[in-house]
Amino acid sequence: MPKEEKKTRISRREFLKDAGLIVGGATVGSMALINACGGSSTTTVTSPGATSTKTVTTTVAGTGGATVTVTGGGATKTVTATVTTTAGPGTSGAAVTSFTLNNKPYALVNLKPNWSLAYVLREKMGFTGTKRACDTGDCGVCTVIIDGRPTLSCLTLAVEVEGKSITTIEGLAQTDKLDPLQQAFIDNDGLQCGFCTPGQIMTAKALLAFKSNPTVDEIKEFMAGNLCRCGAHPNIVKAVQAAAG
Amino acid sequence: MYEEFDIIDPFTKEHYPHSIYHDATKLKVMGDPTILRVDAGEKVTGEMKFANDIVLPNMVYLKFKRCPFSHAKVTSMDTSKAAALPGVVAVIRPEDVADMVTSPPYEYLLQTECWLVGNEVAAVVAEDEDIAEEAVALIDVQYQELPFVLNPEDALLSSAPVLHGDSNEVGAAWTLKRGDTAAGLTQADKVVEGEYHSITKPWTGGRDHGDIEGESITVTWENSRMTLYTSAQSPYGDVNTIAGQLGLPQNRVRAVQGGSGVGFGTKGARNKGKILAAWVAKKYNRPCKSRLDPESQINTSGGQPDQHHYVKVGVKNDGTITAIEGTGIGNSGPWGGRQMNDAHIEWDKMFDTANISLTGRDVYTNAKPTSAVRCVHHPIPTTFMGIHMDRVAETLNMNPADFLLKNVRKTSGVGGDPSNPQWDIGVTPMPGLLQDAIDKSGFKSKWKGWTTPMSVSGSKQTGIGIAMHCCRHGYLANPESAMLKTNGDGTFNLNCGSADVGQGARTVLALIAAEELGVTAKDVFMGTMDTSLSQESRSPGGSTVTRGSGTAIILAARDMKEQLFKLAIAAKLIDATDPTQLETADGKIYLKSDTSKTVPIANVTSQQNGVTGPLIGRGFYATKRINWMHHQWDVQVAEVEVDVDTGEFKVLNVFAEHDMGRIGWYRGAMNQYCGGTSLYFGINCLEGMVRDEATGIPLNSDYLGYKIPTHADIANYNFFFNETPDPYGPMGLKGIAEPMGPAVGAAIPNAIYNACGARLYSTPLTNDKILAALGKV
Repeated sequence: MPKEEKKTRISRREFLKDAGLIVGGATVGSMALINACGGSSTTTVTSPGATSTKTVTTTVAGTGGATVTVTGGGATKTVTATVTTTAGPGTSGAAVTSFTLNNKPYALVNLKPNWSLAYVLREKMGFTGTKRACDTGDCGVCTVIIDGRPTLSCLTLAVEVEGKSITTIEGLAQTDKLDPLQQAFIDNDGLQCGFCTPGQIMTAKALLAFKSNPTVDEIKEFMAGNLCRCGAHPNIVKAVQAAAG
Repeated sequence: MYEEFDIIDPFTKEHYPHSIYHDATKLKVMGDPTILRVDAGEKVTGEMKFANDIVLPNMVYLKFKRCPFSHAKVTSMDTSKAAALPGVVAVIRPEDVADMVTSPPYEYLLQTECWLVGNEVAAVVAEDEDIAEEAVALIDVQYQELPFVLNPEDALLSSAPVLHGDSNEVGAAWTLKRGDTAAGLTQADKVVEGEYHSITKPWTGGRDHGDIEGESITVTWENSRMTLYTSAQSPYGDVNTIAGQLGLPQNRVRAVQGGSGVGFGTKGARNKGKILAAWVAKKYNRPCKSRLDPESQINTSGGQPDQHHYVKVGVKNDGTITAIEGTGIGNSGPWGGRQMNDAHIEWDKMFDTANISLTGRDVYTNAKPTSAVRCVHHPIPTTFMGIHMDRVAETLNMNPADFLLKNVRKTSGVGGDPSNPQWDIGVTPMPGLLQDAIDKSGFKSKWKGWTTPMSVSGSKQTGIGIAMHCCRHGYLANPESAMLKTNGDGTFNLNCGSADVGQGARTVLALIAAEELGVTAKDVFMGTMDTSLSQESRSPGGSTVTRGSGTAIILAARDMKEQLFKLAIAAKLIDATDPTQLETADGKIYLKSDTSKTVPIANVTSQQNGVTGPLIGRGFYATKRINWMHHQWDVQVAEVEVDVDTGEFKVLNVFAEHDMGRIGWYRGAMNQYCGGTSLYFGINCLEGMVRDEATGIPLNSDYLGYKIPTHADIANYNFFFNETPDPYGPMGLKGIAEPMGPAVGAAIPNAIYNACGARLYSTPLTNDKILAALGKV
């Protein structure tokens, strides 16, 4: 007796897509509509430094890819990647998401409403220090700091970070000098394979901002959401204690 | 012809009395506790690129359509809607890749008969992950559901559906018989029987690697050459498999690896996403990325095999073991694999008995496939025999530490391993290591008697337990090769194909080279992997990196030193006539007969541009099969607090001592000890796939439901090392990764029993089992 496949789970993307309708639906419309419209667009990310912010938006009719341009403050780097159907012909008005990333202003144009912050940081902006694994908020490898709070960037929509200040692992070291927490992870061997390390450090960084001298139990509890299968936990705790001084 | 290439073990007994490596006073960098991880800087800044971090222009994404049933045949498949979705590059159906068999004879790249939940039936290639996922949902597959079986014991019943062939047994049963077990049991004053399970109804079983990264690959096809950015444990394995599957010469496929998110045995080219991503990259001439999500990984990738064990142990009243009898049944999943083949053979290495009889049966099921998970399959028998021996000691009213001390196998040398009496097993650290662990943990003073807790505070009772483990990984090295190259400034580049998956291969292997070359740790650098540049090896796997690659590196360094000596003599930099008159130390070449006559190595290598070109030292090593092996021992003592009202328990302290041979890289060894102990704590205490009984569908295939240990779960660890140099290991080293930790799987349930009298016979150790054992539910 043939049986039809039953849907047993709601995927993260379906969930985010619905969430995106709420957060970004007013400006860019539903994914179903966008996909039905076809076409392509250019998403531009501009960060010319602290003074002026210039955004360039191009809507291209027809099929094919779209270009995402990332312009970083001062030193300009342009990353071109192909995406599709971010906006249809009827949505030429630019939806701009502005935020501060590692102390530099950025403005992202025409973000898909269902793109997670982790996805945009990694695949559109080149900040791959932030890792992505479970996509469901279970593992903590995507942790970044948003306005002082450790935040799972896989469960944060990119369009949500309007006006916020984000710090990623790339933003910790200052002018070639490591953050004391990073140095403490090296000195205490608070890592093995290194995959979970950026998330561990970002959570610990947020913890130390909340509480400068946490107890071992406080560290363990605060960081319990950052999984590590290599088993570097004791050294991670030691590193956080060392950085706390 | 074969004789010509029969590699001689360079560190046989005839050699080692003359080796400097067994004089610890001459070692400069080995065991130095100040040496840091070479790639820590890249990891703490986020600079290190993992396979999934590679983002390339024009890249496409691969996603699989997966079967939702435990066993089903595809009756029809409509991919038209998926193919029509804007942004979809291709939909791949089973017939498109019918000639690609990943694990013959049952496993294909895409299946038309699916043997487990999550089996791959089709794939989508799309411009981004969202579109790929959306297109996967649009593929309409009709299935005919078929009978399935999850539990290996059920699969042996005559009423069970047969997966492949005539029987669900994977080959004939494995047996080990020595002495007369029946007579041994008759002679015993007491016989203790027990049965133990790592898969329990209603359907908890199956342990996953839990590597957070998930197997990932990004593949490019450019200039008629394929590049694999891969998370592999063995990048050379990926190259060889993918070249073979695609019909490409191996010199047109290279694997590049920056970081790799830990590998305990399943990160291999058997992963279908890797093979199909390579196929897509070449066919469509676009970079292709594939990543295994946690749900698919937990459902379909190889994990620790579920096992059932039935045990009888006979003892005399004085504690002497007269016989051990054991039958084990192991879950091989749908693709087979001899998991029970010698799984419990380690009991024979651990316990000194004249009479032993073991049988192991491997069984096909529709449950999780099997692979090594930080050991092949020995840890589960260690857990269960550890619990059983605690029961035996209790039957005799003996202190469990005394019982282990009495019965631990203490034999060394030829005949030291009774299962392989012709082999030399080197020097055993037993019983000294066990006694030391007992002393350092304070076990004898802390243990108050059977089911007498260490302390009671309200409903919380604390107990202590002990167990030991022995296995023999790392002795049978994979073929390994290594190359050292000089630079004009006196530094060296080390090329070796052993991947660093977090265990610290890049650090410890450079240390071995530095030790042999007589230079500092910083003078030797091993970069990340590029298989087109580095030397082929198949490690890591089986804890063979330090032994196998380490030996090849020592040979490469000796080759290098001979060339340095010849160059120094030719350039008249030192007053010698023959390389054998020279040796290295502290960054200098010196005359053995007059150690005041030296020349810095950098002065010699600076000659290279005008005289010789860079010097290349080569080394190759494969274990000569076989007249020796080594055993590695581990003892774990756990202190556990149990809340007898709720059944919750917390591991407070672990004291453990490991048989290191020689400590190579101290910090790495210590960190791995944490890793092995935490992994086996998780696998035995916390983890297990839960399934719906009616459908077999996994219910907890994510890292919230499948709970690996978190920071909050980790006990206070107190680790100690025993250094008894291995006569056959390079510089006395042993492979350590796998034997570290499994004993904690028995020490914890034994401590729970000591705390509250709840004897646990199955894993994971859940609160309800504790309450049930206490008669409270």
